[in-house]
Amino acid sequence: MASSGGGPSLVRRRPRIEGKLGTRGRNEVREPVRCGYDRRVDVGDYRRTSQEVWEAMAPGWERWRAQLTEALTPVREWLIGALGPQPGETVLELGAGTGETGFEAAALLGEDGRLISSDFSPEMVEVAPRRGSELGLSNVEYRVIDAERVELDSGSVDGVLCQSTYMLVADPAAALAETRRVLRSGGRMALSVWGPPERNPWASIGGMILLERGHMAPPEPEAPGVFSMASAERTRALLERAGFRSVRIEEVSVRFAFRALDEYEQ
Amino acid sequence: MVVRGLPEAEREVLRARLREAFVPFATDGGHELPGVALCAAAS
Repeated sequence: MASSGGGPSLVRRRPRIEGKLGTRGRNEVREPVRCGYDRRVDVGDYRRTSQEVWEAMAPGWERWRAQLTEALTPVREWLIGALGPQPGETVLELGAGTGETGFEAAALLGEDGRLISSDFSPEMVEVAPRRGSELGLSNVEYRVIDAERVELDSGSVDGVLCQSTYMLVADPAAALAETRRVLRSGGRMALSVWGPPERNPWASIGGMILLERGHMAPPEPEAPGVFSMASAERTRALLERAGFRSVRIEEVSVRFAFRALDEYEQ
Repeated sequence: MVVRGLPEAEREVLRARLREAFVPFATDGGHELPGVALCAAAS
């Protein structure tokens, strides 16, 4: 992305790519590949691009919902177990996508409880209700909410769920501070982010090949992206800086199955 | 989205590299790629 020069800018410069994806399936470094990138990421540009990307991805996300849901079952179960939704409570899900994680919470909240299923992409917010209706859920409110500027009162929810989203927002510290703000005193939150690229070939292979072929700039470790919170230390520090205590972080393994290569390409 | 804008010849190179990178993850029914999530609970 090119800088527009406006707003807070994250100026990144990295003149060459350090390595190349190995042929054995691991992200081993083989030989250096030179590339002449001048990387400038503008927060405003990033937010606009994210909107465009998720608008474009929403139909595919819905099409692959069943496969994604199956692959992410261990993460979803961990998050629900850690949050422990109770009947009558209000739970906010940020970055809900197709809504599956929050829907499992909604079933536990009961008729007197409420799930606010939200996403910053209006197109994704159109997807989730279709699945919610299929499941017969009547205690779900669907809203467009930006995790960095949550339009809810302070202390208004008992729990927050967020699967694979904080690492993608332009300012995760702001998003976590907003999460803390909307939680009541004693409220709980459960989140997931992705570990390092070498342990997530399902997400890194495509990017590594694009990088190797010079079609993509190498990501900076803390610039928003799939692996920007891959360090448990960084994730813990962000949570604690946002005012959270009793932080517990665990690794959860998943497996993504593809019957054919073109399933992955899509 | 990046790939869509590339010439077909380059897209074929990318597909070949992808096929190569997927080989270690082959299973009887296709491919299985592992992943690790960091899950956090806080209050």
